[in-house]
Amino acid sequence: MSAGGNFLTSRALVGLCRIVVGLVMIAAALGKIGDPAAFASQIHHYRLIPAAPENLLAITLPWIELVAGLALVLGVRARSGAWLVAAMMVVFTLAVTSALARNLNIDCGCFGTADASRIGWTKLLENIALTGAAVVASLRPR
Amino acid sequence: MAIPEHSDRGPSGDETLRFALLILVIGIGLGIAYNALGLASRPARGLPWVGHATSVQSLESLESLPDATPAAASTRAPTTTPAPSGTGAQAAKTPPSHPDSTARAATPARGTRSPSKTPAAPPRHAAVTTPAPITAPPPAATPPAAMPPAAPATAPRTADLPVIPDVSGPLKLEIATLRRLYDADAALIIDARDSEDYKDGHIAGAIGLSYNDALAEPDRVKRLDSGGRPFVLYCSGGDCELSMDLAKVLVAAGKRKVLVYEGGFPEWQAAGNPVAKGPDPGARP
Repeated sequence: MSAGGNFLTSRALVGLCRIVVGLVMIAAALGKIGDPAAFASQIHHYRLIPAAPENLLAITLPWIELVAGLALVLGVRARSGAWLVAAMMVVFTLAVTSALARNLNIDCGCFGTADASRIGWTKLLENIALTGAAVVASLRPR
Repeated sequence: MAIPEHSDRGPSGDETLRFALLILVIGIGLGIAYNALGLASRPARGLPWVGHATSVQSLESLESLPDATPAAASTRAPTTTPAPSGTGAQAAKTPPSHPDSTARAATPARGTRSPSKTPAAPPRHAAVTTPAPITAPPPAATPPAAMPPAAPATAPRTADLPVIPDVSGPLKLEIATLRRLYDADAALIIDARDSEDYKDGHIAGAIGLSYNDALAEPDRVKRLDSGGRPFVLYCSGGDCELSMDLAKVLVAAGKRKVLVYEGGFPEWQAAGNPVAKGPDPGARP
């Protein structure tokens, strides 16, 4: 394996990514669980899905994030949690990209109403970075 | 920190995928259970299972209906601030400076549609627009009976103002209608964008209350007092829905006569209407 591959699969880096990504997911989940109506409204702003399933997504998505985040932080089925987080982050990043392409002036909704971050290039870069960290977290440490 | 690795030894890709699906199912189950408990509680806190697309009527379309709105349930926008007991959201933090100190009498004509039906008695309430139309002095300082009964010649006629139906939800309005309300100082205008956008430019005289701030600080929404005037909310026009979302927050907080100007600040500015910059509402012309 190359030096880069060795570094990416090092126990320290994979462990760090799992902790960081897990904590971010837990924080994001708690911000949404506290106010699902506001989160449903934020989902609506993306205009990517019909109105009917928006509430169901707002009800369930934060809990998926919470369980996946806990799996990462606690190290219980951490690779499975990381796979799931990576998949979710890909979807989130595509949603942000789509909103940017349509020039939507909306809240990210990434942490529910816990923050007021808006869609923008900074948010897109954050999402890409978190997706990368989730991918690293999903690697099998040496 | 030691990372438990017992789960990373051995599981194949298939097994990892299976557990990922298990996490997914557990998350969905917990979400559904939590919401079901919320819906079953009193008062219900949960979210309806199915979302509904909301359609909002426009004020202009309601106005075009002949007597569609019962007189008792509607009101013509009063033309001054009737000495609200509360304060505007941002005005409470950053008192605006308004040079206009001319006292104006109001003719609220609540529940009437024709000026000829307006009683000739002194106005029911009137106020001074100093220092700001948003945060007027306390009522005791300007008892209604002490106000002059006649309006200055420059005061807009109540008949020129739209009838604002007292409906439960928000209504949309167009720029021409907003301009009529604006010229008569007959609406509390609120910028729903974030504070940076507000500082970059806003409708002159509008206070700033972003949607996120309204969610985070519900007391600010409760303290909003338009003095009987309608609320007019706006954001960036186009696809911006912050104003409509803020309108729903206001309605949920018990506010009535909530209007949304969907054209937003870009349309208002492009039409050459008064704008202001900075953290303060600024003076109306």
